[in-house]
Amino acid sequence: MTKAGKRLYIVDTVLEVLCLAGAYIVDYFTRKKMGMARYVSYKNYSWETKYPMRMLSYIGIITLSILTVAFLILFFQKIQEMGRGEYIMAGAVILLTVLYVWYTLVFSREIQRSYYLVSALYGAAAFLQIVKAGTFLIRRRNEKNNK
Amino acid sequence: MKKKILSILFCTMLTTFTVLGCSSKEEKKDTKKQDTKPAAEQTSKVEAEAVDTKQVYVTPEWVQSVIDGNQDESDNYVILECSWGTEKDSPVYGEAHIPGAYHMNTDNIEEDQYWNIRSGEEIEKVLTDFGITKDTTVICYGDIGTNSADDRVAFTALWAGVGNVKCLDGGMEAWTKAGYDTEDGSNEPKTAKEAFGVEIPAHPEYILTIDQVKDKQENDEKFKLVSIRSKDEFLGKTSGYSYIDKAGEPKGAIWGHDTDDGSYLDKNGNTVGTDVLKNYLSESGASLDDDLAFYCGTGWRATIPFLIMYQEGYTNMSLYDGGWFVWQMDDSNPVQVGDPASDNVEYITVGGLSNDKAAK
Repeated sequence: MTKAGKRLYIVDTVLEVLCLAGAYIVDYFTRKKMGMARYVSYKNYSWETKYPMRMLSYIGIITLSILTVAFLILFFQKIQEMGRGEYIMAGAVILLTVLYVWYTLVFSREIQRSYYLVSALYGAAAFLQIVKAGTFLIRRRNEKNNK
Repeated sequence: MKKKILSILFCTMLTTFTVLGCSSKEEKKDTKKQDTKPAAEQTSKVEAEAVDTKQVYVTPEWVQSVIDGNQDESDNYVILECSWGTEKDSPVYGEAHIPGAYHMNTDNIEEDQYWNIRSGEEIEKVLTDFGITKDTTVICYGDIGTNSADDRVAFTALWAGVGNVKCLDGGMEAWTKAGYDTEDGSNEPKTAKEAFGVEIPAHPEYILTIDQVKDKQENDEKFKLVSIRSKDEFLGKTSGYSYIDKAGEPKGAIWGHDTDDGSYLDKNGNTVGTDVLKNYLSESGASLDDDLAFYCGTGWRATIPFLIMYQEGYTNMSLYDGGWFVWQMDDSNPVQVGDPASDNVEYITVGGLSNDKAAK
């Protein structure tokens, strides 16, 4: 991996962690602080008025699912060449995508006030993981082709 | 490789915590053994003077005498610790509460779009789930005297049709100061065996909608819309809330002082009477004889002057439940920014207000 590639990898990983930590923090304070709960509720209703939130959720689920499947096809095409690190990356892709899809389908604003924000943050984390793992695989394939 | 594994482990841990946090909506009831004995077995036998059914604000002594079985109300009462948040998430109840008290989350009585009181059907379910019928004496309390969560719940109970509603003056702070027993753990409310007993709301006239307010402003000469908010909120310097961007007041509103700053408590921390309210109203040329509608941001603080008037037998008051929160949602609503008693006031519409006045 080049130096720039390593930097991108680290930045991507940090962003993922921030998304997951953000989801926890947002949910925690929405449950603990009345002002935060009301702010989140207010935003929920504002977003629902302005945007088709349910439709956007489905678009998010379909997009990430397609990206995950595409990544897995790429992964299984070269499965013999994959090391332990690649397996872990692929596992993280599946884990985060499943988490996002499960959460988005099972939960709702009525069940959990911070639903939209948490769902978006899970989705962002899954997307970043797919981008990171996908880029890694593509670069690796190109490097091998060049050799 | 180690870094990768560590980062993945960290992500998994965070995810697990978040998901576990999410699932906490189904609150588990803590069934720890209570510290105190049931009322009948208590050694404390506090006696206090009986109070009128309409009297809302009561002393710790009176509440203890109810618990001790020395009041008419002792046969059928429920004590509610009122605060926002689930029992698990609310620190007030968990620290210590009055023996036998249940935690009442204010979300139980307010819908989450406009924070208005829920529908009659919803309130009936909430009340009967807590074992409350129209004949139950409901004793509400908060953590401190200026907290209006208990007043909000008490108001809701009166609106619903409960005949005997009380608020512990000074809240838990006064209770502790008086030296009475507290307990920890959790009490599980028992659903009422019979129906509530009257159609809810029994007193719809206690609440005004925004349309009713506008109608009264146009057609009722004696109508006064009284803001129970801070001076800065009244003057339009701040909305007072992190989730409200616009600041101002409905056009025509007068200032009735704030409850959060202790303006409705005397030097002993007890709720004041209508004599104090009368003085506040007279500052704006209004009186206790006017048709008064109290409001605040979302309807908590404004219940205090309502209850003060209620317990002194007045009937010419109501609560504009939507408050400033609902008023500022419609760009065409007329507003005032500044002191209407001076020249330093601007009359515009909500649409002309800036969006940078949320409380920091």
